[in-house]
Amino acid sequence: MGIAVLLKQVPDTTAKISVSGDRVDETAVSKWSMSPYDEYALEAALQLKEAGGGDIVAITCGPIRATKMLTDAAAVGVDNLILIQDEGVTDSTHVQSLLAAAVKRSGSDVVLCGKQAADTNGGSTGPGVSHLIGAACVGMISEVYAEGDGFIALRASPTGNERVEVSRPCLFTFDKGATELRRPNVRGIMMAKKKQIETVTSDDLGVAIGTSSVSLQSHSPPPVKPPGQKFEGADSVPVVVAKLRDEANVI
Amino acid sequence: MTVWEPPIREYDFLFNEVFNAIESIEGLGFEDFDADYLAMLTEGWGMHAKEVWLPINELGDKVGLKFEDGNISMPQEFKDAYRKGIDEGWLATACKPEHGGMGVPTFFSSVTWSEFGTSACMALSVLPALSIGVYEVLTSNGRQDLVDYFAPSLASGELAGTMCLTEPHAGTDLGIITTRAEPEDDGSYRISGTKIFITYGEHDMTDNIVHLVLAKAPGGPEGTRGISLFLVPKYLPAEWESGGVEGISHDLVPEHNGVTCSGSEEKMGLHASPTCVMNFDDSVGWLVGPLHGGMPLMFQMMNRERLATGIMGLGLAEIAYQNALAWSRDRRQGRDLRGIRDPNKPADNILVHPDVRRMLLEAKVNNEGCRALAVWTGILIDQMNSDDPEVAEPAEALVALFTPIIKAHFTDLGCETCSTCMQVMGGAGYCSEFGVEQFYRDVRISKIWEGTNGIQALDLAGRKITQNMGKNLRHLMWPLTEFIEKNRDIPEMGEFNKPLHQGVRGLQQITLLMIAEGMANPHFLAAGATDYCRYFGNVLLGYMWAKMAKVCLERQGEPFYDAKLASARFFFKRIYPETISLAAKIQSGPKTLMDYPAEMF
Repeated sequence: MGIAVLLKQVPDTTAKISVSGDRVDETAVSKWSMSPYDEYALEAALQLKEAGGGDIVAITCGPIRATKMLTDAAAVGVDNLILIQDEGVTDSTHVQSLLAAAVKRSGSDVVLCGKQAADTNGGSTGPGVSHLIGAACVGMISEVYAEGDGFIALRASPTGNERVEVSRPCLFTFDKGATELRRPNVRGIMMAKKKQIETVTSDDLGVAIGTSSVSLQSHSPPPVKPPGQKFEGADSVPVVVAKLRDEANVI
Repeated sequence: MTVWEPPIREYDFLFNEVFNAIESIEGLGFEDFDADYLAMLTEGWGMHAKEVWLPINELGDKVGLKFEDGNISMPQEFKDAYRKGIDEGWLATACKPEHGGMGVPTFFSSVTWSEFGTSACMALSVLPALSIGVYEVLTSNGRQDLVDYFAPSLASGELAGTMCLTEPHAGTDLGIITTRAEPEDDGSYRISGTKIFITYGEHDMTDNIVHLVLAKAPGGPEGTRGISLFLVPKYLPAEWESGGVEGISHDLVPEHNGVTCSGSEEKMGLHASPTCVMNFDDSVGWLVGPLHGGMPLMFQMMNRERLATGIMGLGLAEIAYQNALAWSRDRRQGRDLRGIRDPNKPADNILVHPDVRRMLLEAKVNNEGCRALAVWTGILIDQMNSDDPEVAEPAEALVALFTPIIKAHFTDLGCETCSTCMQVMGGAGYCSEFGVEQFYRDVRISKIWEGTNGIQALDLAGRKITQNMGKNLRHLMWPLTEFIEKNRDIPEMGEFNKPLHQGVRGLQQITLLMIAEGMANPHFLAAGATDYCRYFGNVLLGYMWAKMAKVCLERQGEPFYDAKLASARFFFKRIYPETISLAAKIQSGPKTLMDYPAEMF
């Protein structure tokens, strides 16, 4: 069984973010980490491997700093590491094409990733890749295990929990998973250090990145939050209630 | 609810920017070790300590160990956490690869490892720290069969080790111990005697415990020169009949080897670290190292433990600081004396108050200075193993010099910092909910362990300074003077370099005074030793801050480096000046101490 896990390096959720020229200043990000939903996908991939064998390939599309995330993935047990140099690609369809080509080349027939990245929160990567590789896509799952030739995935629905059966090839996107990503142990760290990262370009993958069909027309910062209002005494209750009802629309 | 984040960025700065740690150990057998590997180990160990060790720390204090019928049972959570340490390989960092260890450099295994471990759970951290101490003495001095049999399980943590020195009547003065070792025809010995204050002397964290016991065998001279060192297991191997342990299985005899625990002390802190009275009754043991040559070996272990104890002071000071800071960020009391800062709130945040800032900065700046000195010392310990005498000799001299200073100054500061951090928090600091009062109680032992700080000061002033005709001090003065000279003409370095230069000159003068007066009157040396040790500690931290400032001047404009420069300024203006009063105290000599009539105390 070939298991591919798609990972994205994002600013750590605790890192300070600074905005420069209306964009997040990437050089000022103090800490980069694996996107948290991808961590759940990675843990599920490791559990699939432990239960049924097979090799895990971790694939990311990003700048050279993302190699650190791949090495961290190797430390918890990923077998092969692929970095697709992003060459400044921002269009999500391009990213999907590159990831899909890398998945195909790896020969993996099950793909796991987070439901969305913690920075852009687009949520398009998983479904987009599954479309390009011709795999079934089961989204927002919390758990997956192999059964027969296929898989059973569990996901929460508004009315309860769904149990979805799917055959290969398939792709799962992870919501908050059943288990947190394991800690690396010392042996894993020692092994990870020796692991090679395969760095590929769009040419290597045979993907022609054309011009983007999407362009950013304008960007405006969120409106400044209006200052808080202070009310004192029981007399102000009707005013507060009116404001909560008519202005804030919360009651 | 206590908080703690492992100070990973601080270690990254020290390893890679201040000391070039990886380059410093080139050619010393760490060829596979690089900056990425070091970063992953630092992060990995930090994560383990935070997720596995920190959550049991308060429980250890509240629940503690249970002593019943000679047995000590540890909280199940401690056993689980210790087991995770074994399974994930974190207890074997210092050990050699041939024994299943990682063989990583000392600046990680003895510095970063110890700081994170003691911050997260000091009571647990001392168990593997002791086992590694036993491992090192055994592997460098023990018979091959003992090494083969015991070293791999000591390395992994499956087997625990202790050191048994103190007896009811013999603490600092080990020359008068009465534990006896009678030789047998098969080369083994029978050990009998009572030892007290044995940390982790008895527990149920591992299946077996090996004790390194100081005892006197027949035919030796009086005093410490007649002491030998023996390895005594709690349970003997089942297949052992006589002689050594070559090739026998690891199954154990169910009955103990005459090794019993008759009590565990009730203590101020460290409630989950057993402090045992151990009885050895005709217990089988094996000689480690030469007959009547046990003391130098015990000092080998003791020196390692002295550094580890010093770093305990740092570890507890760091977690105390982090908790006091977290509390301060939320706490609002009073108004900024120069005008209201936050008119929408009933009070300003307490960080507006100069005295709160003084306390937090004293804690932070001393911690960071100590951490730098600890990393440098870790590198020097690795360099002691160099084949090049020009590297090994100064390293050995500096480690000899720094050991008592790290032990005494770091633990003095550790206790002061925990107290200061409690003060920052006011009444909340005194309440157990916020953790700092536990750190305050736990850290207090570090001033006493492994030779009290008074003994450390005497070791520095009475031995380490004069050793080999002052060689140790010369090896410090050369790089220090060179640093000062190099930076003399750099205007931006003046605010750090000038006070450092003054402090170094003062240290030289006071050292000469101590030696000259001390030769005529040993009381002069003994009366000034503690203040001298603190003076010396301040000069070393001054050197560390000047070195760090030098790096940060190159990267001004970045918040991390600007804050470091501000910390360096604080150190030289508000901590370092205590050297002036320390010098005055030392110069006053022993008269006011010794002239006081003893009967009037």
